[in-house]
Amino acid sequence: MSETAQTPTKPTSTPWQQLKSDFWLSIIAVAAVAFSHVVTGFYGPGVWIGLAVVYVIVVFGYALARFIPIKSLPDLFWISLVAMVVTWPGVPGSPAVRSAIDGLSFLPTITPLMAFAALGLGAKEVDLFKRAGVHFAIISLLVFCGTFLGSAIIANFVLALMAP
Amino acid sequence: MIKTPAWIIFLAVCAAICAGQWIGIQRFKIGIANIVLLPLVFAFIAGLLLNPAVVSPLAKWMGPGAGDRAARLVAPAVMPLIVVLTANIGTELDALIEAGPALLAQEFGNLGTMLLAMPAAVLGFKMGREAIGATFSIAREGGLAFIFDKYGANTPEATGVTAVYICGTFFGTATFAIIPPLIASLEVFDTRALAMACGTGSASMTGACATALTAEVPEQADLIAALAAGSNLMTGLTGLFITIFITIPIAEAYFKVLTQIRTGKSERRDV
Repeated sequence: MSETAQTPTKPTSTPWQQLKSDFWLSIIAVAAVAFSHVVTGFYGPGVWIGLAVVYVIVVFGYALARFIPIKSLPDLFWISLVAMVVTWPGVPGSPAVRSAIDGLSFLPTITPLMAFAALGLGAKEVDLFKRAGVHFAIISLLVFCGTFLGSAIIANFVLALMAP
Repeated sequence: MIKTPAWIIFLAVCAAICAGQWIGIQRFKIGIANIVLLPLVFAFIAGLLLNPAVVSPLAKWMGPGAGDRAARLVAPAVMPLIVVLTANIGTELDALIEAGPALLAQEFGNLGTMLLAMPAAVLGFKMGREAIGATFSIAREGGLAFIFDKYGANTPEATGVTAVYICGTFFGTATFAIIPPLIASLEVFDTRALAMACGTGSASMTGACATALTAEVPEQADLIAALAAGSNLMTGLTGLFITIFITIPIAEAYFKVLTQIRTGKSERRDV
């Protein structure tokens, strides 16, 4: 989805220009997460510190993604790598970073994502969904449930084997 | 084309968040299974109702390109969630290593997708090779790219994978927020197994699933987040290889068998 929206600008822009855009888009995204926390009833100083720390980690991850051009690795990889390193036990300052991130709550962090995703569905996608119709919706539901259950059954089985 | 200003999208997102929070967490029981609907499900529905591509009169207010503007914000909106999820991996490392073999093995859970969904596609809906694209995996970005690369963009396989991908953007995350508490309430599965199964989808599916599971088992929040994020990383690392060497060959063979069953049956009916 985001791919189609970015294609006109992406090939011509420099890493710095891309990073500038990541910087602004992330501010909007983190602001929505902040709003979501406030609406849910979380607004102590812990939340603001947590959001600031998360923002810095995200932008740093984006910077790595832009300046280390390994195409097969998505932005997600770099950002989770940075998040993992700065919270790893033994890394200087990691307890402080971890407790800052602990100031945030799961639920209000994911709600804005769903709102963005719903608003980001384009006319093309809505059309194809109408055409593809109910059949594909049912298949998709089976696919999601099948993947989840298949994985849970195998994991459960192996965990049970390892238990004694 | 007039670009929709970012603040309009931000306002719409805030409105959807408020709607989600206003409705709040809804819990009810169907038989022995717990259904938990998190605010994110309602925020998603509210977002759809504010999307000009869905409710066309809104285009006048939001301007053309509202969808594009919002779509560019989806990836940045995933990132804070990723940070919150992966921040627990280091501290939960012992638990992750302990669960290591299970974590590796459950990557083959993708085969369950096919077993369940392909018969429905081929026998139930009489699909052709669309069924391969639609059911070989959970159809996130990696799977989409793989099918386009292997079969080409204008093939039935590509249509299948695209349709499921789009269904995923519509209700994949919501589904992953609803299934885990339902399964957890059956009390058949180890919570750790369910947390690992959360990681099989996209990042947002993983997040929704871990969040929903945490709502059911709050005392294991950190462990759930670490296992889900660990499993999601593992899917990213091993998913492509499993697809190329195991899933696709099995999918092709399974499709042949199912198609034979279908045509065999219909021939008998003709006689």
